[in-house]
Amino acid sequence: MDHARWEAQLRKGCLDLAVLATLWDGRLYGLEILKYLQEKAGLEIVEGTLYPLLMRLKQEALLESTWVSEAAHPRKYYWLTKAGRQRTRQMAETWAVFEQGISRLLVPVKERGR
Amino acid sequence: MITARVESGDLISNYLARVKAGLKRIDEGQQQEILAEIHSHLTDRIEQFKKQGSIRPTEDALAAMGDPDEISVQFMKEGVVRAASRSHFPWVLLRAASRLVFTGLRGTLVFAAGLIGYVAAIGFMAAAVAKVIVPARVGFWVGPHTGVIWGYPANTSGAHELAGQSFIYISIALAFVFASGTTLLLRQLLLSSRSAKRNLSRRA
Repeated sequence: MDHARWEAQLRKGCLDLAVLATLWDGRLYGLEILKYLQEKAGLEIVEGTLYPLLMRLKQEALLESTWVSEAAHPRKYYWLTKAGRQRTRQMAETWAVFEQGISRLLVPVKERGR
Repeated sequence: MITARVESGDLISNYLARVKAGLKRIDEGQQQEILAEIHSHLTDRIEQFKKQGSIRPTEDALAAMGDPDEISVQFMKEGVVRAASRSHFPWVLLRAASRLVFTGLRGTLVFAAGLIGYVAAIGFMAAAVAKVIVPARVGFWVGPHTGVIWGYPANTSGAHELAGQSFIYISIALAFVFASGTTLLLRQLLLSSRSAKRNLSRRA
């Protein structure tokens, strides 16, 4: 597996958690989620791929949404449901354990890798 | 200026039409919701690109959004297939699996596994019914000419039927095992096939 493919798979695996995390503090619409992902995590995805993912998370009852017409045109806002907050917390805990484990494995690579 | 606005509108309309064309199997209400959200996104992005001084804000916004065909494929996979993966109805699961056929070898194998599993279940059930109708000819036959056959051999000369009336119960049990096993397998495979690797690649 080449590096680009490995990186794409890594991003794919993290994207659900990343999107859920962007909504932890409140409701956002699609473009705001993308901006948040880019600015906070450096995650750039093809913009159109966000919406199918949001639809799935909504089908899983992790998100709720509503159309708001307060701007020049209506925007669809998303927020975490109770189940969504619970899942995000679980995923964050799993991520922390995973990240710590991999970091420990990588200590010699960082120390003697050069 | 007016010409530019019309062209911009055409570009967006064409883009949305291409997305819509790939969403035919999604119900009309959901299609409209999807298209409205993409339109809303594009409207915001065009404004952003204009502010950044782009000379082709619509084209830039559409490029950032990605290939419309790819987006509709993603919606089909994430939405319809995902929803179907919760179903227990063979026709819903098979219909969802059929949508994966053209997405690659894995999708084709998922559909083939589902089709073979359900056909086998129907075959065992039909064998049980046939045993009731023509008990002397249907059964678990072993013989020099027939070989080993579960069902209705063309020629039973020299063959022995080994299952007797148990053939009916065993056939029904096998039909149940194949039907439920295929359903569980398809649900799992559909669930795990929801994301295409290529759709999540980084924007170049």
